[in-house]
Amino acid sequence: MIKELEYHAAHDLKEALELAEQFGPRKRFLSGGTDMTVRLKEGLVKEDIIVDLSHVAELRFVREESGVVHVGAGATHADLSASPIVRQHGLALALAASRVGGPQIRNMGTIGGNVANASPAGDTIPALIVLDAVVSITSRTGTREVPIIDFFTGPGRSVLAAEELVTEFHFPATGPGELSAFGKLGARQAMTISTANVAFYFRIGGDRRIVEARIAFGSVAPTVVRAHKTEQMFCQLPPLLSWDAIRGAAQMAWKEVAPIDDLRATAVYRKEAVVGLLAEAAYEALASCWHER
Amino acid sequence: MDDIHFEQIARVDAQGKACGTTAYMSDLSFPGMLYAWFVRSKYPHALVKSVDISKAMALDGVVTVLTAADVTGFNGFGIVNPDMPVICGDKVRYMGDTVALVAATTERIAEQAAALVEVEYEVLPVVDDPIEALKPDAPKVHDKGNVCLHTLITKGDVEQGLREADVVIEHEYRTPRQAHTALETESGVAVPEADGSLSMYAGSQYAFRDQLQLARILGMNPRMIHVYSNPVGGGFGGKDELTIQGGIALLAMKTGKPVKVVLSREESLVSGWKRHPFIVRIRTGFKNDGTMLANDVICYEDKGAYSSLGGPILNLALEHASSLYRVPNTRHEGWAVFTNNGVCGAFRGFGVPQVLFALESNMDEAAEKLGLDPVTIRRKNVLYQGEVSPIGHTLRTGVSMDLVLDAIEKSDLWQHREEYKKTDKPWLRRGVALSLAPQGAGLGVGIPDYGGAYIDLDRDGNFTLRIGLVEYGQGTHTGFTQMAAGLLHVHPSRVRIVAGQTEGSVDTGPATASRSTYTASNAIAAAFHDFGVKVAGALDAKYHTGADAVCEAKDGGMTTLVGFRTYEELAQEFAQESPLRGEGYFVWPTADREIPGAAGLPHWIYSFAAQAALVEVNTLTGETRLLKVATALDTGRTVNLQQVEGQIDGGVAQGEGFALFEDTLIAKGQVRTKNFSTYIIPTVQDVPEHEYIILENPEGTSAFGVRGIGEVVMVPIIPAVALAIHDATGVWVRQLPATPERLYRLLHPGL
Repeated sequence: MIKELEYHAAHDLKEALELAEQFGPRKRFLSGGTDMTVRLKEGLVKEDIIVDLSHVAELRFVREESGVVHVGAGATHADLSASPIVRQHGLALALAASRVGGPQIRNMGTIGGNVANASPAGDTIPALIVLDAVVSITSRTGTREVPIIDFFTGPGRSVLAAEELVTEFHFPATGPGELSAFGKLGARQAMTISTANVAFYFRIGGDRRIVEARIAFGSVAPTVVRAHKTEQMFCQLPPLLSWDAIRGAAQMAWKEVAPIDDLRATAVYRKEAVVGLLAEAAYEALASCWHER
Repeated sequence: MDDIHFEQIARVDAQGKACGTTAYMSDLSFPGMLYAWFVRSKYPHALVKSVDISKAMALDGVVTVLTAADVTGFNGFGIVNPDMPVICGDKVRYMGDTVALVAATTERIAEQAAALVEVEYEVLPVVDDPIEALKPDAPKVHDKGNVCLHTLITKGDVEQGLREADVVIEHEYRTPRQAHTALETESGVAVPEADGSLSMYAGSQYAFRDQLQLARILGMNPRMIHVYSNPVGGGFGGKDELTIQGGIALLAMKTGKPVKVVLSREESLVSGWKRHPFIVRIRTGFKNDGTMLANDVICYEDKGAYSSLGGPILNLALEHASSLYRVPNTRHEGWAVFTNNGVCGAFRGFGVPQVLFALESNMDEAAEKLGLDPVTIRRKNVLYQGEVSPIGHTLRTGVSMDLVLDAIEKSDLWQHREEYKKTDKPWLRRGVALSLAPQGAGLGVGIPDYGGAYIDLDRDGNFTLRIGLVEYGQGTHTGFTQMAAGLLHVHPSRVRIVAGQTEGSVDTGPATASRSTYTASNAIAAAFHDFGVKVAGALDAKYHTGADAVCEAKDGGMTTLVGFRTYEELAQEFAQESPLRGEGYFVWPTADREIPGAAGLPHWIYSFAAQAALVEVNTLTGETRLLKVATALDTGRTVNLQQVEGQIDGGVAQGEGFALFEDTLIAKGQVRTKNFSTYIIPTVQDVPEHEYIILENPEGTSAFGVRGIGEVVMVPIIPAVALAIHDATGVWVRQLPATPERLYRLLHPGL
């Protein structure tokens, strides 16, 4: 049974921040509602006041300015997966957004909600991490910038204070010689929570070697994690498309994740599967990148 | 009637469903309507010591709260054995059991009141393993013990046959607890009428049996109970047995108000009927040339808490445990065992998918050992009409095992399988496999399998077909319309259907067992014949033409001894006060004797299909994608091709779910997969491309030559997927669904 709630609709950012300050920890923000409505039904929402952000039009944007991509917290997954800017300058994020739920969920769910929920299985999070995104967190008193990797403090927990709101993400636009991608393992092709997911960013040098790598895994630790050792292995790959070499590099991921058993899969399987997930996605991305060049 | 033309029309119910205007029973509202809440058990197995409703009754807006003592008639239901209480008085046997019923002015209040009902339980040990449950010292789910049914069917000498075999394949197979996942959950409205009767509006598969079961529960004359069960928002067997009807009927009669309930998906997945999981232990013996010599099968059926159709399902499984292959020595044994694992009942396929997964897997393994290809080994063993079945009855009606096998061999997918199997990704493996299945249709020996239909010529010259069989998505009403229109020589738009109601339609038996289209074909043909007799009678009464004069349908009317009359003219003359009605009745042909010790067996008429599957396995993650399926299906005669292809699409998706995704996970009696994020069904992104091969080998006992196809289209796909995984990877899948982790562990046995 969904409990009785007090509901406030914010019509612009200013009003949202005022309501945030007024209600503090008693309120919960509602954006697309795709997660919250399920949690409400299951009695998992402890707050009694809902502040609806879905009418705050100024939070819904994607733009590129001087080599930086800015994504408003109100941008939907459908917005991101269709955005030419995101596709060109942060492909991992477009791919991650396109694998969230199904069309109805992508039309409603927002990136701000996905990140603020701080689920270890959130699909856009590893993509934002490998793109080196920064989160803009706003309150009535101003805005602070937090690197996304420092945003999460545990499953469902983040640095966000009660009077604060995630308003924007920004990351350096990827360009020639840079590639990023996303891979997801779920129970089926769509409408599935990630059993494990992976995003990566590679900068390719003139000699076709990977000179910089960022890799992040989701659903295999209390928060989404960076895989620094695995990144090093990828930077040592020979500049030729070798399945064995790529799989060998991906193997290191095994040492960088700490999954648990749950209804979706066991920990030991998750550890094996993320290796495969990374190897497969990296092989595909490198194959097409090197093929093009 | 082979010359009857079936106008290929779009589904008669398409527009209403596509536009959302179709009113299902769960869409109905009535003035003053109350809302019901079922107070479910807190434990999977417990004695009920006391139920205190005082706090619930005191809540504002609560109209009544019922306990077992309030059941006015017999407190139980069940198609075969009414052992499931409507409200449990002394014991609960699964998490979906009802201990009290609430009616309140809003759904919210009803739910709040349900939480205030105080039940004192004495918790009992949970019975959750059907094999353990058979041990003499196992806790008992029912006083009489845990055996719902034990059946043993033997032919020849199975041990001798296995000794003589060159190869014996012996394994244990396990199958999932599949949920029907009908879009419309169990729901309906019970309406007390001014004359003391009750109208039950609830989508279900057999209104006339619901009527009798409700009469027993309420202790009322069945004539005082009117059931309206059409249209249904999906059935698949899950609405064959009663679900919520008994509860809301009691509440409505007690309060004198209409009472509605629509179960949430979560409540549906916990309390609703499921497919029985089977453990199948099977030893199959072959000669070096692939000839089958013996098949020894023992099935353990996890019955769940109550009987429903568990017995007949076990027996149909045993009838098919050696398929329709030529096996001289067989031993088919089965145990239907009560547990606290939910409740299981009818589900499309009715036990056949479970056993054929086992048999067809053994078949491919034997072929591989003997160096035979999958088609050759099957062709060597398929039976033909006139031969004796593996359970000892002679196959009198048409057998199309060879036809569907030949057709699937000629499919594009099978012919070009080596090309389809190519992939350039080092981590992917593709495989192709095939399988074939018979599926006994109808209710079997000893159960009157009856069908009636009325064809009414109405005042305006159009027709109403009154028939019991409901439309739950399978497309049958389009077919019925085409049949009636074809016989009457009118455009199908001039025939409307009234179905699935105890008032206004006629009993045609349950919409189950692949029997709707076949039963309707003969009932409609009989009603049409009688309609001609009635027209002749009416003409004779007025014009003295002789009552035995033959009237022939032609061009929107009938040629009679007094000349051609359009239906409008006939209506003008004879149907102004009441419709001119043709009544047709039909009883299924059945075997002349029952297989000893196996109630309901054998079946007399079978459906046949063969399917081939192309899968792609990701060896890094264990994920399997079903890319392409070919289906060779004998329809007998196709009434509407689009509906046939629709049934194939749906059957393949449901079979794919069984093979790859679906399982209701229950741990210590608690359902862990309560919604669609954990109970996984295929989405449109997961279903394959289809190749359809439609054969028409007429079934001689149908007026139009039709066969039922609704179940068989989901059967061969299940072993085909499992065997295609073997073709791709070399591992044998012996437990379904082949989820990514399960398959990964098979691929990496050390994990």
